[in-house]
Amino acid sequence: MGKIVVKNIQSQNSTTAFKIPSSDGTAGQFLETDGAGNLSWGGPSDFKSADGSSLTYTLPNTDGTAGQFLQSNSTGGDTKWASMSSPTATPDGTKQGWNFIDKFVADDSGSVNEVNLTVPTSMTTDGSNIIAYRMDFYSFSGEDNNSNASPRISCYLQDGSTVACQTDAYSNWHHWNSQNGHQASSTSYSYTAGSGYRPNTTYFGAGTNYTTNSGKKTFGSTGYLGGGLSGTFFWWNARGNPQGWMNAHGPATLTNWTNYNGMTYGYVTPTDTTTPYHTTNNRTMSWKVQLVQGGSIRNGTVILSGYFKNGVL
Amino acid sequence: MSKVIVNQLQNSTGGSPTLTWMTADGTSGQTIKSSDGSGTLAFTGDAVPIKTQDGNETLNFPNTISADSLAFKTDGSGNLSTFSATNPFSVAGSAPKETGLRLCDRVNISEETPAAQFTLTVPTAYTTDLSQILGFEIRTHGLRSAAQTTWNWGYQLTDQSGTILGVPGAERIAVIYFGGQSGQYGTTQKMPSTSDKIRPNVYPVYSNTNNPTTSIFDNTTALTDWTPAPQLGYNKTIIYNAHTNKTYLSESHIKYNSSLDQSQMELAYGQLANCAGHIGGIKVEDTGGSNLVDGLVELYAHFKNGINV
Repeated sequence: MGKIVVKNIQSQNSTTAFKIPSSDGTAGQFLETDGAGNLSWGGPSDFKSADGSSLTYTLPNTDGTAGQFLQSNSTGGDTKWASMSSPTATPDGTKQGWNFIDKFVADDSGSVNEVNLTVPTSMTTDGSNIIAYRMDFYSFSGEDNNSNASPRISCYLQDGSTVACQTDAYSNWHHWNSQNGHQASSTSYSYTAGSGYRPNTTYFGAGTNYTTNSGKKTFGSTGYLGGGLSGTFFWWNARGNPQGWMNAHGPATLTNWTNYNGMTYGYVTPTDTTTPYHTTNNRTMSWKVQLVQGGSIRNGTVILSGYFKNGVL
Repeated sequence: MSKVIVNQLQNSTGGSPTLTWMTADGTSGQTIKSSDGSGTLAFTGDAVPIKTQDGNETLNFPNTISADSLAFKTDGSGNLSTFSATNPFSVAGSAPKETGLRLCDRVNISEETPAAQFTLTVPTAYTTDLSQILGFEIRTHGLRSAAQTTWNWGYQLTDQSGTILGVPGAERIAVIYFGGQSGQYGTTQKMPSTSDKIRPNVYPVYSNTNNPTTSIFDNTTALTDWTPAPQLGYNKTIIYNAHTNKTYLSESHIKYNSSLDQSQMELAYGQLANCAGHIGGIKVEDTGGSNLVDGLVELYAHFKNGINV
């Protein structure tokens, strides 16, 4: 093989002598100049932005630890490794806990007749991946002024329109307020659309339309006197025998809410021994919250969060 | 210094291309490329395509970066952009760093082989100094034992290796309960003899001989006897992680007998005297020794300010 051993190569048409590297580069490297005729092997540790000129990126000198993400270290293109795991995931990222799903916020600009809270398809389309739900109510209230302004909670498939259940559910609830003391009852709920679990059938009005000491205004108005339901509904999303529990506080019906302010505790579960609660299609992946009398929801916030199986999110 | 002056170079192997050498230097950082596909070499400042490991896709990095600590994400077509990776449970810009809730461990018992105890611990990646943890929060959904009669649940407190803490001492528990078939409500106190565990329930949790001994979470059929199913529906327990004199508050929703209306909520406040050692974990159990077969249990922690988690 012909070979010339030399340190510099210069074109006949040039006065610039290029000093060639004295050793080989590593695979993938290329020849680059320092502007003074010295050629060296360039590594891919630095590279340009997409437009070829604005930024020169440099990668960290060493790899990060497992699970770390590449982040900017400044605005100049240098980068670093950093941990970015969710606060509700373990440091190694293998287990994921409590996660926000959806929320509803009522405001003074209008009102709605129902709240729909749904698991995004980007999270999952398989309801068995959701072990449990949590639904938090903050001062949830409607326009009416009686017990039928109480919220009812219904289970749906992810499309938000197909009921998720095929059997009735049964509920037992207790309520305490200063006027009436303790009240309790049990009732059943049809699985057909339009029904749904409600935490209290008699003394729990989430609606009120007060405007004075015996009344309440909406969130944005002055003289807000409170009222509305605040509490949490939990749901264990088993296929055949799920169960729900609710603990909430708020005014009962009637105008003098100071005497009827109380606490409701309720429990709901299917009791059918032949038919599983959820249909064969899927499990609950969407929730509908309405007022029992179908009126307008005027105020408050409802937040849906969930507990997914590891590795789903 | 040795030098050869030549316009072109060619490998002596037959058929090799003739490479025309550059006549001028490039600027610092420029690389040599074939400029025309006919062997003419030239310096270029063109971006070297950043390829995926298989060489099939090109990744395009953003032309500008607006801030420090932004993470990179892809649009799925090789175009990267940045986004803010702030932790929603930390106060941005706080010094010392203020952090909120952090998940330590979790177990979905419904997916595990049934066992009498399940242990959850604080990852060492967070800390090995457990005095940095101010408090814990345990969240439990759908806990069910394989017991064929009533049972009691409890959380044993452990160190970070899962070894039970404490010398047996006094536990004082004040419980308020609401609900029940006749609407019972009231208070009671308990003073068990050991202080290494939390046992906040007043009434034993209901079960019977029809209670399935394996998970029912994915059952495609209904239970022939629904009554043993909804046992400890939900529990949240918060614990103050003092070294010796720990306190806790526990909210439970349980079914204590077979009828639908025999469920109740229990609030328990407890003091664990002389349970020495900061908590590094918990064991959840049926205190009667039966296997747990269903339920999700999660352990969260709240850290002192300034701790980087």
